[in-house]
Order: sequence, then C-alpha cells, then structure tokens
Amino acid sequence: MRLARCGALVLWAALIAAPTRAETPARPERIVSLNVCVDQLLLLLVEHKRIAALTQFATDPDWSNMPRQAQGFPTTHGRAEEVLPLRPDLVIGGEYSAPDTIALLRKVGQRVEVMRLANSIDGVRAGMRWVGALVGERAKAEAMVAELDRRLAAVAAAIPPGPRPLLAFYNTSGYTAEPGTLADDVIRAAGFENLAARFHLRIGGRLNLERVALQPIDALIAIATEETSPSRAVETVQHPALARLAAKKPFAAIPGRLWTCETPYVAEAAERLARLRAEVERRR
Amino acid sequence: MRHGAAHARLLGGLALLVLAGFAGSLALGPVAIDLGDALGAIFGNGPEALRLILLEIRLPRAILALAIGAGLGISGAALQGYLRNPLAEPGVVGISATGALGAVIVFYFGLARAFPLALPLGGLAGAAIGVWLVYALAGRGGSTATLILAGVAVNALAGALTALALSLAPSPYATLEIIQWMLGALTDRSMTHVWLALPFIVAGVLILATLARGLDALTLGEDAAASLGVDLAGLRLRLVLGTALAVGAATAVAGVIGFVGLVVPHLLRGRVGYRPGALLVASALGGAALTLIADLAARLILTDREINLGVLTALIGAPFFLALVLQSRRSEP
Repeated sequence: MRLARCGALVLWAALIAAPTRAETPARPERIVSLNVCVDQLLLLLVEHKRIAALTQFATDPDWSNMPRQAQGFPTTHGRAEEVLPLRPDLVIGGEYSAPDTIALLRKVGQRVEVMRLANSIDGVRAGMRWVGALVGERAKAEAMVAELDRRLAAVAAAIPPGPRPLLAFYNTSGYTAEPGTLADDVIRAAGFENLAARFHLRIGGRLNLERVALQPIDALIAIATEETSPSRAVETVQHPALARLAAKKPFAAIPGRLWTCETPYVAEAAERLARLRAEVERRR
Repeated sequence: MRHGAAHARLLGGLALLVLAGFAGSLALGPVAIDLGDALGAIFGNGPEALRLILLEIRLPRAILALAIGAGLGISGAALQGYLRNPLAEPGVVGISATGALGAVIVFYFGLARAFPLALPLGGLAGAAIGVWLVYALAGRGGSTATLILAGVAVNALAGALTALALSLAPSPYATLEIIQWMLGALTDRSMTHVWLALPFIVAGVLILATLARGLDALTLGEDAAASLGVDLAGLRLRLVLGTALAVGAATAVAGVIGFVGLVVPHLLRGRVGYRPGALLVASALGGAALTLIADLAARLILTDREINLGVLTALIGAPFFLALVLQSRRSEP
C-alpha cells in the first residue's frame, strides 16, 4: 500500500517534471525564426544545421544584410501552420511578429520566445546576448558584442572636439530617426547632431521637406532608392527638392537594413556615417 | 443677353476663386514665408531654401490641385450631362478606381521606372475601361439605381484588384500604400508629376469642353440631337476619351479624389440655367477652386501631419451625395 502510494508519487513527480525538461532543452537543435533580425543573428551565431527555418525576408536584399548566406534554408511567412510541421524546439519571434500567431503557437505547446527590438546601441548589445543565451552560444555572442564595441570605439575616437555637424535623415515617406530610436543613437555615436531631435519629433513623427529646406544642415542621408522596388514611399526620397539639397551637401545613402536590427552591421552604419562626417569636416 | 452677362460674371467669379486658391496654395504651408521674401525668392536672388520651397514643393502641388480639380469637375459635368443622371461622377461610378488600378499596376511592377509615361498611360487605360464598363452596365438615361449599382460593382472590383496588385508588388511599402490610392493625396508631389500628368489632363479638359453643343442638343432627346447634326457616336467617343485622359492622369499621380465631380456641377447647375453645355467650363473652374482649397485645408488643419486630400473631399462630398440620394428618392416614388 505504502509502496504503491510512493510509486504513484514518483510517477506523478516524473509526469510534472517531464514537460518542464522538454520545454527547456539545454541547447535547441531545431530553431525557427519569425523575424528578419533574428534570421541574421542565427546565421551568425549557430551552426546552420540547427536552423529549421528563416523568414521569407531572409533572402531579400531590401531587408537582410545576409541574403546570400540565407540561401537554401526553408523559409516561412510567419504562419503557425508553416511553423508547426517543422517540429521546432525553439521559435524566436520579434516584438512586431503577429501576436495572434505567437499566442496560437504557445497554446498548442510550442516554445516561443519574443525578442524586444533594439531602440539604442545598448539594446543591440542586449539583443545579441539574449539570442546567444537562448541558443546556447553565449561565448560567440560576447565575441560579437566585443567586436561591435571595438568598431564603435574606433568611430568615437575619431570625433573631433567642438560643435557637431547637423545631419538630416530623410527616409521613405519623410520618416526619420526620431530621438529614442536605434538610428538616432547611431547618428549621435558617429558624431552628428540629429535634425529630428532638434524638431523634438516623437516616435513615428516625420520630417517635413519644407522645414528641412530651411535648416542649416551640414549633411544629408537617405535610403538608396535605386536598390529598392518602386513605391510612393520611395518616391518621396526622389523628390527634386531633396535632390537639390543633397547636391550641395555631403550626402550618403544608408540602407535601413544596416541599422534597424541588432546585428554587427550597426557598426558598418556608424562607420559610413563617420566617413560622411569626415567629408563635412574636409569641406569646412 | 442678360443671361450671357450673368454667365460671364459667374465664370469671372470662379476664375477669381481659382486664382485665390492658387495664391493661397503657394503662400501657406508648414513654413511661414512673408510676401516680400517670397517674391524675392521667385523673381530675384532670394535665399535658395525659399526658392526650393516655393518652386519645387508648393508650386507643383498647386498646379496639380488646379489641373486635377478642373479635370474632375468637367468630367463630372460631362458624365452627368451625357448619362442624364445627376449622380454620375468619376469617383462614384468607379472610373477613378479603375484609373488607380491601371496606375498601380504599371507603377509598382517597375514599368513606370523604365518608361515614366507608362504611369499616366496606365491610369488612362484603366479609366477608359472604367468609363466603358459604366456605360455598358448603366447606359444612357438608365435609372439612377442602375448607375449606382454599376458604380458599386466597378468600385468594388477595381478596389479589390488594386489591393491584390499591391499585395503582390515587390515593394515592402506597397501594402501600406493601398490607402494612398483609395483616398488620394498630393503630399510631396513634384514637378516630375506635373510634367507627366498635366498634358494629359489639359487634353482631356479641352476635349470635354467641345461637348457643350452636343450635350445641350441632347437635352431635346437623341433623335432631335441627331437631326440637329450632332454625331452621337463621335460625341460618345470624345466623352470616353476626354474623361479617361483627365481622370486617368489625375488618378495616376494623386490617387482617387472623389466627389469633386459630383459636388461642383450640382452647386453650379442652377447658376448656368440648367444648360449642360454651359456647365462644363464652369465646373472645370469650380472643381479647380474646390480642390485647391481642400488641399490647402489638408495641409493646414493639423500642424504635425497631413490629412489625405481624398479624405477631405469625401467628408465634404459624401453627405452631399446622401442628400442627393434622398432628393431623388422623393422625386421617384
């Protein structure tokens, strides 16, 4: 009797313990990404055989910095019924992944982790470490952070003292780098004053072309429209008034994919901006 | 003769309104510019930034609002006169929507980048199909209900196909821009758009203006008009071509701007003695004035963002449309 009770207890303990162990394997071996930033971190951090699927954007040069490295992987459009048959042991989504899909996946017992998207360079470091810890590659993630810091320190060391040149970032539809975004942090890290901050734009605010024309800007950045498929949003960046402003100022086209994600490419964005700043100083 | 003088006064008044709207469109915007500086920037050696704002940002917008408004106004008047239906209007019957569809297809799939004229031509082709569809479905002198139902069907089909095309387009922004085509806007349109659209719209307006005599004759009935020497097939062809040119090119650069062609002819019909021919030029001027003023409001109502022009014209036009529906319900028991 006592023995039977004891056995039942052990069985019960094993039953409640088992799912917890299955939910957190030491090292996930079949990882599905639902976010193009996560796609790139996985390609950089884990052995490729551990990636069960990337997103449809992983091979799209508009969105990803690593379209070639992403070739040959299964991709999903982020729908639950595409994800489940892959039998992943870890699904990583982003803050803006469809909340209904994530809720549904969790409801059927799938482990889903959601990455907070970086809104500062610190957020980039945190994102790299967070994914590194999830996939059991902490050392690689630390090395990635260290390399980012080394390149950013080199950019910072080259900033001359004195007032900072004023930079206007005119993105599609007039969107810009508002204070409190990663792009704003990178602009400041490269030694510029950001025009959007001077206008006190809040998140989602847009630059008005008329107002930009009146500001004493020293340099201008936009996206590279010739690389991007046509749209009304892209057309705003092709406005002749902007072209006239850009023709007289140091200008660089910096693709959004470099500095919207928590990838080492953030350093490349900072380095390109630093070269633009050097051009401003040269012309002074 | 008294009639002629009153008509001239009406056209003069409308022209003044257009002029005021155009001047306002140049003078007012997010950045305040005083008149002396503005004149200096345009005619003298004013600061480059002001020149840029006035000539590259505000001027194209003012020209487009004027031309598009004139095109929509005269198209509405011509369609109402020919179909003998007071609710005919490019937006309501779906011609603007098919024009937008044509423009969306050539724009988002790269054709317009390779060959810029493809944009107005795409809008023109779409609008021509729209006019033809409406004519085939509702016909001349058909009931108001048939016309509105035809418009609902054409609008729904064109809207769905536009959304489909934008969903399939390679651009990441395309799906976000569905609203820009359904409820048009003139935000940040440039001289490039003016050169693309203006010649087509002017041609359309001029062709529609030649319909005056024919439309007046048609009020006596088709047989009487034919006996007066009106070439009915030619008249129909000019109506389709003129509307397609004006509405197609307008939609290709601005998206659907509804109700201008409905509101304006209605406000002016009594003033021109209910003559559909005289209504044409008056509606072109009235449409230009209304669109210029609405676009100015779209820029100025909110300080930190713009309202789509199509939203404003719909807010003005839709209640007007409802009133007309109620009126026609009372008159056809």
